[in-house]
Amino acid sequence: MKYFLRKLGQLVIVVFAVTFTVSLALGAIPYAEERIIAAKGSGAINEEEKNKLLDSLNLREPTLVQYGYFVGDLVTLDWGVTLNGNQPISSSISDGLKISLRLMIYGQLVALLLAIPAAVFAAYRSGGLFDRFSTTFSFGFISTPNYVLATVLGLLLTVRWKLFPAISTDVGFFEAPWDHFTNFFLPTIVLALPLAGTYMRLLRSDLINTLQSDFITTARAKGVSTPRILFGHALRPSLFSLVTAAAVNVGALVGGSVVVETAFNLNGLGRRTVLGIFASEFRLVQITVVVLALVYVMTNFLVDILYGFLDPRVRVGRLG
Amino acid sequence: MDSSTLVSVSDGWVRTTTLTDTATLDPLHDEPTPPRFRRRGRITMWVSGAWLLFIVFSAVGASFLPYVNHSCDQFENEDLCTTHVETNPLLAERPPSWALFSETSRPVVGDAPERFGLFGTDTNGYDLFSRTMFGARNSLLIGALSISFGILIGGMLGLVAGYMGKRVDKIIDTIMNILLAFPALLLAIFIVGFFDSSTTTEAESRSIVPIVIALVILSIPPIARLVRANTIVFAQREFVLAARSLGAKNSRIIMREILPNVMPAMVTFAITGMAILIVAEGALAYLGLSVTAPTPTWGAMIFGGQTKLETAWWISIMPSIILFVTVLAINLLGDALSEKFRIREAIG
Amino acid sequence: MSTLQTAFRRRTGTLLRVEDLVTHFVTAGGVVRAVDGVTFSLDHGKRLGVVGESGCGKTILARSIMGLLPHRNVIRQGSVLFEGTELTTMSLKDRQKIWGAEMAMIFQDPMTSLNPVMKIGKQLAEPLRIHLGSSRENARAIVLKLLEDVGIPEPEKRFDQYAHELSGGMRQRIMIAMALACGPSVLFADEPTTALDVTVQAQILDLIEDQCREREMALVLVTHDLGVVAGHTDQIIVMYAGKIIEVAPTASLFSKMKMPYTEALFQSIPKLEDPSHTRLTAIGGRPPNLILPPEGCRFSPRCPYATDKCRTIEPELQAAEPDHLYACHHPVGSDRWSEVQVSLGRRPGGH
Ligand SMILES: Nc1ncnc2c1ncn2[C@@H]1O[C@H](COP(=O)(O)OP(=O)(O)OP(=O)(O)O)[C@@H](O)[C@H]1O
Ligand SMILES: [Mg+2]
Repeated sequence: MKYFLRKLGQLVIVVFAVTFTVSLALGAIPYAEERIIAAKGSGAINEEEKNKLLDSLNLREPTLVQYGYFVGDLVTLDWGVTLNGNQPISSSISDGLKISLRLMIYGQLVALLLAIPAAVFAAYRSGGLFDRFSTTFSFGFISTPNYVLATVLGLLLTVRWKLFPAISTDVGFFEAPWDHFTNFFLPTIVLALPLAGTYMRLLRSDLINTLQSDFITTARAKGVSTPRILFGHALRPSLFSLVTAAAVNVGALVGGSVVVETAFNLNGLGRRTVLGIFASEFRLVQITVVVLALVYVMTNFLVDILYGFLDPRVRVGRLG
Repeated sequence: MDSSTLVSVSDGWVRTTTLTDTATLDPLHDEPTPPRFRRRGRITMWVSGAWLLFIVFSAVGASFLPYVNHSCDQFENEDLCTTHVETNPLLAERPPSWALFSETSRPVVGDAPERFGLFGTDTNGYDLFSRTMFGARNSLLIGALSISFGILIGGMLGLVAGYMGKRVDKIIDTIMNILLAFPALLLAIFIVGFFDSSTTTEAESRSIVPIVIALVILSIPPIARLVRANTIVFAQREFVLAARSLGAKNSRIIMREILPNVMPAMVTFAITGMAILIVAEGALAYLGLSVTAPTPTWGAMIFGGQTKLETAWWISIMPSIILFVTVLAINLLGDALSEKFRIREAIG
Repeated sequence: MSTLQTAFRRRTGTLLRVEDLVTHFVTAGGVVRAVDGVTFSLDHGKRLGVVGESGCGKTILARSIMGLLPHRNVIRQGSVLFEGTELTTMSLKDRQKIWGAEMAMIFQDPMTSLNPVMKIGKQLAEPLRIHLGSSRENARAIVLKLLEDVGIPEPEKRFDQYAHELSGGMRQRIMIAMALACGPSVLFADEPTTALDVTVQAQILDLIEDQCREREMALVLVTHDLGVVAGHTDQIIVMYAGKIIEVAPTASLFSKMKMPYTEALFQSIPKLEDPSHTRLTAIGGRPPNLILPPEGCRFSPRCPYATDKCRTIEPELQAAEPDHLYACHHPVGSDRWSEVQVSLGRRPGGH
């Protein structure tokens, strides 16, 4: 319980720090006002509108007051509209979030589905043919930057063989399952392969350690079959590093798949933010960063609780 | 933990071999196989080391190496001279000379060759091989600078946090958590973009400084965490406690007693960290946010060829291959080193 | 099916026959001769002790008999007949049917021998569910009974606990319960008390003995402590450097021991005043190198009675009595033995 409260306290501090920094950052940007006006299209708006716009951003207020307004707007979901196109920022973010979450979930699922069986089999016969083969491959995947993978796969599968569309569009699964598949296949693969490599290596080495432990010998001496030893006895105590890594990636990938989103032209959250930075959509960027930070912090918090489920010893007294 | 294991390690020298051989022992595998031991590791280590030496050598000595102007000596017609910076429309977008399956989409004027050089040429007619080697200079420089500063700052924070513990540790940990909560790439983009705008409103040419700063900030938290964890282990050891009880100053204990012990982990991490940062620079470049003319980075070259994939694949693919092989080599080397350190720790 | 077998099983005659068993490990440093030609047999319901210094191959012997070894880089020879069935050539699948059902094993360190993330009850029920196909409820009932049998208070509560919530002695009781679950006909206990407190040690040994008697189960008790086997076995095997060097019924081993090594072991039995984890340090010299064992008698470099003959000719196992075998050129009581005893200033004679 104390552990829980301490983690919660940290979460609050981090959220505060992030929102504060983000709020301050706007003031630190050189020529922020001019850029915002320029982004709005300086000729297109008159003096009055301009003042209204700048007022709504509270740029001229003292820092703390600015922060107060910012948090107030955040909490009341009064997020405003984008400079160009006047789309509500909330809907832009939720559209982006939908795509990013989808990519993240697909990528993680494919990565885990590839990594777990491969790691189990590799650890079971460590040093064997499959182990060496899969270790080499996972090393290759880890060493492939995703933009390189996107480039190569893009060249082969879309430009040469025209199997997939070069530019993915966000087609819903229920509207057109097949199109959904073809549109998300490449981005998912590009995201998943390097992840799978990392996951596989983590799990494999933890599994090899677990398989040396005495309780595995106990299980063998009971006559437990090999698959049951691997999946029933050895897998769960070996999941720590994997769960940690996968969880960190949940948060990191939502905003961090910018490269993949850019490569396949998917308007996910990350890409919207990058475009936002270029287009001086500061408010959109600020709020997105806060949302992403929240996602990241929350997943980490949940993982800490998940540890307790994985290893009952954690529930009692935690070591680290 | 249990006495018998310890005992066997200390007086049964056989067990010591068992320890280092754990990788070849699998308790479940149940068909007898002939004995086999690994020698493979050493070969990969040499090959990757050699490759890295070659890349570093090229990066440092790019201007003196023969390939810079090889194309000028190669042809009598001086118009066909192409380097890594001289635009040459006559030679734009030529496939590599070995790529007989690829044709250029640009007209071939006069006796200009249809294919050109080891890596082909890009849209400006620059020789891609020379350019890739010059690109190594920037990519490696950015990677090395960022990881050095990252290790310096992150390592210091980690040492202090791990050694001092308590309040200091908590504060540093919280700061790291805050840094980590910002989406990494966005943070980097913001920093780069920020420096951009402080000089000009339009990004024209960019130096490596903002990129290095962005990457340093990204690399600090993981390094600090790793060093902290290692420091905590050593801070409890007898020799540190002894030094403490003798009244040695904290700064001295950290530098003299702890740092040398944390070093192996740091060096190993620095190597893989450098690979990660080189890749990250590429990602920035891919988003259009890295060093521009006159000499590119690998990332910028890959990005530059993106729109030409259909007609001139080599512009992106050739630097991609070099980047991939280099990152792979660094990773393999880092892996081999970490294995080595771990084993030495287990025995000694 | 297995329960029926258990119920009507013949309870006399030879249960286990081990013949010339060899287990060598191929390591980077050379071939480790952990078990080097071991022959013995064990009757139904009998209790056998295996003693020897740390590293002499006791654990590997027990595991080789069960067939419970890593198979990579291992050289195995010889035969193990279990109720007339050859185990060494059996497939893994078939051996898994025997493990836990017909032969069970408990280990030295109860702290690490239980799965840390699986509830005690589930671990105990596992052999029942695998070998007897018991239903969940059925298995639960049997497990609760077993827990009671091995002297665990509040079995209901323990059923849903994890290993880390129990003391070491308690965990070893759990291990014993787990081994007993399917009513095996032989139990291998590999130093079951080494990691426990002295007070708990005796309780655990008594528990094992009681259960063996009650269930007419044979016992192979592996230990480095002659004191432990003294009161709990019918027959004792003394091992040195992967070989059997003396076999005798317990009583006659203690009264008429033949091997200088056994004698040294005997003299190093921890006395009451020693701390519980004292090792056998009384025997001078280093334990033998199992990669390049000494020529001749493997104990000769450390043996006070050794002569040139010992260092060149390896002694064969010979019978002192029909059931008492030993391998020594100058056994306890021989002329050479008396000579050295006198020169050491000890009074030659029995013990
Ligand atoms: N997997 C292995 N690979 C190589 N050598 C091994 C292996 N397992 C055991 N050995 C060696 O075989 C010898 C016998 O080991 P064993 O565990 O049987 O000794 P022990 O008599 O049980 O000793 P202890 O009292 O310490 O348990 C030891 O020297 C050990 O180092
Ligand atoms: Mg043992």
